[in-house]
Amino acid sequence: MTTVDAERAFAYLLGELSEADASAVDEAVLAQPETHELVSAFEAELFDAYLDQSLPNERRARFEQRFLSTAAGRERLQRARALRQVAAQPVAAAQASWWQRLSSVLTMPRLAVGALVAAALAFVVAQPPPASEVSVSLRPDTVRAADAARGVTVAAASPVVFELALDDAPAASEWKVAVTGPGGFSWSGAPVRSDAVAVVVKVSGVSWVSGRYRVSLQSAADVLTYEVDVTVR
Amino acid sequence: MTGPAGVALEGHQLERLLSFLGAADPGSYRRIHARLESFFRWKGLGDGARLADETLDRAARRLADDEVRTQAPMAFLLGVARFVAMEAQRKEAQRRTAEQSATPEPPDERVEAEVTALEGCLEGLLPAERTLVLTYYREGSGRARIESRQKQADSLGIGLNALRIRAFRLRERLEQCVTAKLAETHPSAPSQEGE
Repeated sequence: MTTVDAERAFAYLLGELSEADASAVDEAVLAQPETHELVSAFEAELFDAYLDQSLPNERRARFEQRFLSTAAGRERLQRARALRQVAAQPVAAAQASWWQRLSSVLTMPRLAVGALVAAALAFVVAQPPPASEVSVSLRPDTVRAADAARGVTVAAASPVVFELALDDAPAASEWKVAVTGPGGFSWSGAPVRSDAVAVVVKVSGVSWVSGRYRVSLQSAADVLTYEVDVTVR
Repeated sequence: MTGPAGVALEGHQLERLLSFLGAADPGSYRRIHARLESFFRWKGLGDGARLADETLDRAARRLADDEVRTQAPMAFLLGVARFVAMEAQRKEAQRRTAEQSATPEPPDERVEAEVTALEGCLEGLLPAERTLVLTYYREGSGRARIESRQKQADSLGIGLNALRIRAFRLRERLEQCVTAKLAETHPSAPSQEGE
């Protein structure tokens, strides 16, 4: 597989590679979905680098010529700018909403607050500690194998959220998900969310055993399959 | 599918192309189409979707004419794509000269609408996803950014490229969500078409 790091990807996207090198990346992008996705991710980062003003002048000029001479390119830059603006204050924003919620409770009469706190404590004490949720991203037609140190480790009762990338498969309004695994493991259901990029499914209330699991994602037009090795700790 | 001259491909031409590319199901075909679209965009060409169509049409016609003897479908397709790109680049050079002098900055209210839409879309992500994407794309540069992303990857127990892909998938979702929201709230806003 052709490897593409940030520098090589930037050079490719800006048309700086030799013809032979660019040709090798072209071939990899067309033949290997994972290389296509990686270069797409670097393309997004190139827009960020332009906004950071961290590109040298020559590269800035090349970027403007290649990407900002179309309406689509200028719109992508606008999106990148908005994302940076919002990302600049995530912690402050999150804290504000937490304090807002807390302050709304503190404005209640003291007795009511006391009752609420007591009820909350009683609830917490009565609950068994929940197994923590595990999230895992999978790609179609790919095994996420434990031997490559990329498998997933869970508690036997962990809820597992699978993010199933569609790669370039078409989005669908309805998806059915089926998970099969060792020892006759079988689960099926609907996603918690889906869009044009990925389908997210949460598998909970099951007992995992170590082994390889196969996830099948079916729409009216497509069936995508994913595999992952799960290790129960 | 239609050819460059707007002439529809015949059934057997399309079937032969799909079988040659190993793209018997519609999903595989769309994936190849999407990769071609990126190929054209990364050559600095607008209207990648149309150029991808044109590439596949030309490939189908050449296959039907028995001109092709190669055993490497993607290399063949790339050859056709390069030819289409070369032609398009000539036209693009003329178009850019005319358009580049008029690249307007987006109006302030449009930028504000983007940010508002994005904030709404972020609410639709799971908290862990929101933290991941905002942390990854937080402003910064140089070594500090590299170190911060490495730390983020380490804390998630994944490699840097795996983190990059996860963040990018979320970014794509957000961009699609923002596009949809803006279409609802600003139906008259300029779209990406018409390049």
